[in-house]
Amino acid sequence: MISFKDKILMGFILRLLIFLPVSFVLWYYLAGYLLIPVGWFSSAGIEMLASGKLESLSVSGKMMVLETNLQVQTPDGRTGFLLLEMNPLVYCWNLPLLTAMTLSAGLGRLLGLRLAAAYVGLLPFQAWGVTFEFLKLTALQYGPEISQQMGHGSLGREFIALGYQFGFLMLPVISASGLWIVTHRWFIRDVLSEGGK
Amino acid sequence: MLKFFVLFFAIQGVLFTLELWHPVRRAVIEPFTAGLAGLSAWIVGLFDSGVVSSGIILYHVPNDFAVSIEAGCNGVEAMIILAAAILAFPASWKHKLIGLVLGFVAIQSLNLVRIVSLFYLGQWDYQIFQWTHLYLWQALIMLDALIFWLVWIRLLPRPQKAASFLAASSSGAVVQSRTGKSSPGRTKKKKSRKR
Repeated sequence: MISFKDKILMGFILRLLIFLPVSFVLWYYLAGYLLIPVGWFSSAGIEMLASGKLESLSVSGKMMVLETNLQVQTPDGRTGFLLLEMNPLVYCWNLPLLTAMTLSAGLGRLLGLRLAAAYVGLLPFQAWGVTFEFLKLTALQYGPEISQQMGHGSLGREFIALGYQFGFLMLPVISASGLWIVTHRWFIRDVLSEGGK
Repeated sequence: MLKFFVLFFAIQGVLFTLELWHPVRRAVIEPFTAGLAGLSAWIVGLFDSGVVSSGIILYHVPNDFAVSIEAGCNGVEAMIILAAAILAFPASWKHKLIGLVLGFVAIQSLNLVRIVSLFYLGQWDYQIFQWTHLYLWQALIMLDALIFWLVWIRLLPRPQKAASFLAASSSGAVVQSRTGKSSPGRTKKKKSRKR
């Protein structure tokens, strides 16, 4: 069985106990800055899948504000444009996790590069979540008035529903675990080598 | 290593599609989630008699607080990822089966702790409940899966063989030093001596 003699694996787990809370606190307080590139990628994603529907995307505190070109009518007959506010952190919690896992694997071995790869590598996956939440809200949730302007057919709406579920339930985990395994093959080999002694 | 990743992502794709497929959802996922809610209610009932479960809802009668165990909170996605990682790794079917069974127990045990802790955190402070629910517990469940996978590959017989599988397509070769320790990621140039 695994014991304290398994220094590499036990060391990794013990270091995680320190780095995980630190990473989460730092991530939460720096979220306003860390989210800016997620916004760039999300704008590109929305433009790709719903061309011309997004007017602007900005980060406000820990939220994202999406100004759209989708028209809405108020009960008193006036016309306006739909403005959305969403919480992108639900797709970004994998950043502090991957940071903690990267730091816990060892502080040497191109640490800066590994941390940068973690941050940059997660961006498209986090943007996937934001993009598909935007599509889900506009094409499926906000009623026929908005949905018609989005112009998706039934198959397109199925694709949006699947993309949203995938982006919310699976991608945060898959992206972090996949990136960590790719950039830490040496660590996994060390764990295995220790087991073979 | 490439083979591992191809299999890893392919198995996840298949299992996730199955999870979302309506007949599987109705026949497997929903009864499983309801069972999880029932088990959570039973655990909480050991020290708090005011808790009942109905379907996927856990309800605290004295203060009218309830939580619903939705997709993403039943541990199924973490199990899918762990299952994919175990099935894609080169090991015997016997060891894969052991890994799947024990992995299920490891993830669902921690998931029960998550459900019970969130149930009480929600009654105590809604903001802390939201923060732990949306961010922290997600990360902890994923870590549970990753650490279990590391322990599983570490306990496999002939781990050196698996290590060589990981080294096969990596950028650096594994070099055996005199002490027998591997020096991953580095290559030694052979020195040629002139005679």
